[in-house]
Amino acid sequence: MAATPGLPSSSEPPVPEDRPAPGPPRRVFLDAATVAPPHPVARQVLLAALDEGWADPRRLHHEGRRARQLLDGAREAIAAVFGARTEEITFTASHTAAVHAGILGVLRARRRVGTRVVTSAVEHSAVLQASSFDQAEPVRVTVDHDGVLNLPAFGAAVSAPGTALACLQSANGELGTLQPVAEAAALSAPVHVPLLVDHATAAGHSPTPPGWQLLTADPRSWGGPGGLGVLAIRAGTPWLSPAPEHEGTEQLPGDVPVPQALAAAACLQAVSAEQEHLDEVRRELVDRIRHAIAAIPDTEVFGPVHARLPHVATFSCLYLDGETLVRELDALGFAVGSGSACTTAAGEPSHVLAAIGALTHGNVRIGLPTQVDPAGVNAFCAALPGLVRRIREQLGVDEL
Amino acid sequence: MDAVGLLCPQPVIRLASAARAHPAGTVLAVYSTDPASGPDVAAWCRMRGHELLDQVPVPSASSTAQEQVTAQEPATVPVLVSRVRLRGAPSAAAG
Repeated sequence: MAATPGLPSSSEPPVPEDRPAPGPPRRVFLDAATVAPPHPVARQVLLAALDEGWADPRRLHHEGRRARQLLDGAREAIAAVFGARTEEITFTASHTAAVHAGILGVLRARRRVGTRVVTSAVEHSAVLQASSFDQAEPVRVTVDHDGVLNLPAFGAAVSAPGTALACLQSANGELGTLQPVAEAAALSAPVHVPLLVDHATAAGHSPTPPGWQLLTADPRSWGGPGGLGVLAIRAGTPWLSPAPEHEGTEQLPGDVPVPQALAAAACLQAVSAEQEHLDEVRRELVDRIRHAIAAIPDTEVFGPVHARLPHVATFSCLYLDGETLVRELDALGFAVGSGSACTTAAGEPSHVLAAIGALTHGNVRIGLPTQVDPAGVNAFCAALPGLVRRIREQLGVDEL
Repeated sequence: MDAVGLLCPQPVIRLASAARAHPAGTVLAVYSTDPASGPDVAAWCRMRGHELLDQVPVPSASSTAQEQVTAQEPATVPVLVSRVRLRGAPSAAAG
C-alpha cells in the first residue's frame, strides 16, 4: 500500500489497528452500500491528520501551508483513482451537494441550448431531484428488468434539440447493475451533450468507466468519513458555478475539512488497491445470498447475475412488509436496508424497484462492507428461510 | 375489492385471499391508496400467472369504494384501480 500522501511516512505502510468492528461482536452489518463502516485506513489517517491538517489551507503560515499540502495530496490521490487531473477535483459538503452542483452548473452554462436533462429511470434520488428542479425538464429513459439502460432510447433522447445534459450512474446502488457508460458516452459526445456519471455506490469497488465529463462520488460508500462529497469536472466542460462568488479552495463555496479529505483519499487508495481481491471474495458471498433466497418460496432476487457490483444485492418476499423483516433481522443481529414503502419517510417504494417492475414490499437491501465476515453471511443465509416462514405464519399468509 | 387506506403488503394479501375464493376468468378490481400497490399488484400477477388488465388512477370523488372509506382518510389521496383477470390451473378452461 502506498504511503499516505503528505503525512510523515514511517518505514512501513500503516497497519490497521486490531480493533473490534463497530458495535457488539455478534452484529453482522450488511447495509454498507451507501454508508459503509469506517475502514481501518480511514480511521487511522483521520486521527493522524487531525493534528496535521486542522488549519485553514488558505493561510500563509506554516500550519496553513501544511493543511494546504495535505488537501492537495488528497485531491491528487482521488484524481488518480478516477482518471482525472488533480485540478478537476472539487470537494463538496456531501454527495448530494456534488450532484446538485454538477447538474445545476451545466444547466446554468448551457441555458441557451435548452433545459432538457436526460437521465435513466433508476438514478440516485439526488439526480432525479436536481434534474427536475426549477426550469429543468427531466427526461427519464427506461431500463430493462435488470435495470440496464435502454441505449437506443437514450440515444434518441440526447439527440433531441434542447438537451443540456445527460446523467447516468456507473452502477445501480440497489440492484448492483453495471450501466453501459462507455456506450452512452459514445451517443452523447457526438451531439455535444455532457455526461454526468454518478459513481456513488461503485467508487472504489468497481473500475471508473471512461467517457464522463462530470463525476460524483460519496466517500462514505468506500468506508471514508461523512461530511464530504466529490465532484469531478473535466476541463473544457461547460459548467458555471450555481452558487455565488466565494473565496475558497474549491470551485464551490464552503471550506473543506482537510483531515476528512485526506482520510477519504487514503481509504479510496487502499480499497482500490485491493479491488480485485475484494471483488472475488464479496461476489462469491453475494452469490451465496442469492442462492439462499432462491430456495425460499415466493421470493424474487433482482439485478443481473454477472454484470453487477460485487457487494450489493436486493430481494423481495411476497406478503411480508419490509419494516417487520428489517426489524426482525435486526433483532437477530443482522443490519440490512430496504426499499419497501413502509421503511421510508415518504411512504413511497423504491423508484428503482418500481422501474424494473419488481415486487416492492418485503424488500431487503444488502451491501457487504469491505471487512465482511463470511461467517456472518453464512449465518444470515441460514437464518433467513426460517424467519420468512415464521413471519408468514404469523401473518396467516402461508397458505396464499 | 376495497383496499383503500390499507398499506403494503395488505392490498396484495387481500387480493390473494380474494383470488382463492373466485374461479378462473373472474375479473377483480382492486382499489388502493397505497403507493406501492401499482408495482406490487403487477408483480403479484406476474408471480402468480394472473393477467393484469389495466391500472387506472381515478379521482377520489368518483370511486365507489371511496364511499366506504373511514372518516380519517383524506379525500384527496389518489386511488389506483387495478383490474386483474384470474387465470386458472393449466387444466382449467381458458378464462
